[in-house]
Amino acid sequence: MTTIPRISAAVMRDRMVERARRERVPLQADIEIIATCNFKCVHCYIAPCAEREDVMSLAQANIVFDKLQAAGTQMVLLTGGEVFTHKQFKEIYLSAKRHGFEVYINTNAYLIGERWADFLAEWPPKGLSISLYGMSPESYERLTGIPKSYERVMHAIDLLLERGLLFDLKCPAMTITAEELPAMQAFARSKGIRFRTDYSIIPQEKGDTGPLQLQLAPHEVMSLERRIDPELKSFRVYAAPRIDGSTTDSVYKCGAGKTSLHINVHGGVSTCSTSRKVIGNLFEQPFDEVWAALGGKVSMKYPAGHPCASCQFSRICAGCPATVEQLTGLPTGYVQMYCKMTHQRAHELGYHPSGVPRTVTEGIPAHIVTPTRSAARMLPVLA
Amino acid sequence: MNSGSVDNTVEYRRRDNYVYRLTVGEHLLVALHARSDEPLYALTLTGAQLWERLAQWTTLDQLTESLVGEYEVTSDSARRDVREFLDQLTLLDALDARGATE
Repeated sequence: MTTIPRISAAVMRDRMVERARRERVPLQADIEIIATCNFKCVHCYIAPCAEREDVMSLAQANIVFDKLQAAGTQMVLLTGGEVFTHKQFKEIYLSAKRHGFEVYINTNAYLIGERWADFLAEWPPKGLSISLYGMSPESYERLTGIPKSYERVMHAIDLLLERGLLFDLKCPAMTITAEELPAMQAFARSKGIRFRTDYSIIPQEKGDTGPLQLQLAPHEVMSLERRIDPELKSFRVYAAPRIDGSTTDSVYKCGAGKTSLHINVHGGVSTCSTSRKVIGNLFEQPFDEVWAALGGKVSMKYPAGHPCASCQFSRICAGCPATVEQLTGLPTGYVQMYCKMTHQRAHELGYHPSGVPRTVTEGIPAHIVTPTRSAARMLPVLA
Repeated sequence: MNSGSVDNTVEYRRRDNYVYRLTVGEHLLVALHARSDEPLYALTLTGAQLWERLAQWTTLDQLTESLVGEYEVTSDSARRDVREFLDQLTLLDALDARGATE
């Protein structure tokens, strides 16, 4: 009888994920503990809409932790806003750890000095994800609106590295970061840190579409991807198992609402951090009730004639139900910009002859919802 | 004090630097302080039961008796398993011990 079996963590995780998928267990939860931020980033969709009271207290966080623990959650991401500006961050973080969760943190790292770095070294998170916004003080401050933000973040990165903490760097690809993204990636590589980027910009939570003017057009996305990865190796690896000629009418192909969920500062539950459409409230409702409602949402199918239902590239789509929902109002909407990005990628990888989606030549069926007028006005018009 | 080697005249208690979870069928020990080391360990059901008993100071004999009482297992076999488990917890720095040592 072996009481601590010698199995690798990867094997155990695979086993957990597989069972969570099969039994629809919320293995992962993103918890927004504060909506406000010390940065004033021009692309942000949360903090510009936040009020001072948009904060989850320790007592409220514990309500959420207790419910998630009972539901089987293992991984918890504490996110914001900026979590280190939360007056009870330390207590919330330690409570999450003591609930037995593997805890991840999203941060801009501006407030991580010696003391926070020492604290994190003593109580390490499973993962730390730092937003990087440029490779010079000028570009950093242009985006964040905060003096010395570049120097402070670079110092924080050094402090965390000195203490052997695990973290990655990420930056949204947009008009004002595109030029420096390859340098950011090179910087991360030089430090042995993983770097990732994302190409979708969404409107602010309360509807302001201003951030969309920063969205890169499909051809700019392709050009940037080529600069970051000339052979498109990582995307090729990602795409290969996801393009097999089959199609699906399932709208949600990710783990949102199946093995993961998002909880906002007021206990509101949505599919993921990108989706701001709350479907229930964990402060007020039993977990099972909210989880069932979320399950109903993510089991939705595309309406007949929807272009995505017959698209063999839907599993590598540049958009997702949450970004589409933010632009059109519905997860079942259609955003041609994402479609163009996806088809151009498929073309570059040799999966599509022209890179031009069918809807460009045949049009979008009239019954399919497209971006709202205000969103459409801000999105790039060039292919 | 930390346990050195397992001793049946000594009482043992789990330390609070790990948290036990049962989730999606896995009995997990989650490390509170691990960094690049593996922060998760799997327990068998038996290991999980022993871990629960180790919330209180307890001896090798008491842990062995608890297994014999619950499973069709000989005392010698149960004692070997308990001893191995306590050794593993010691290696993980997850165990306190007190009392005389041989």
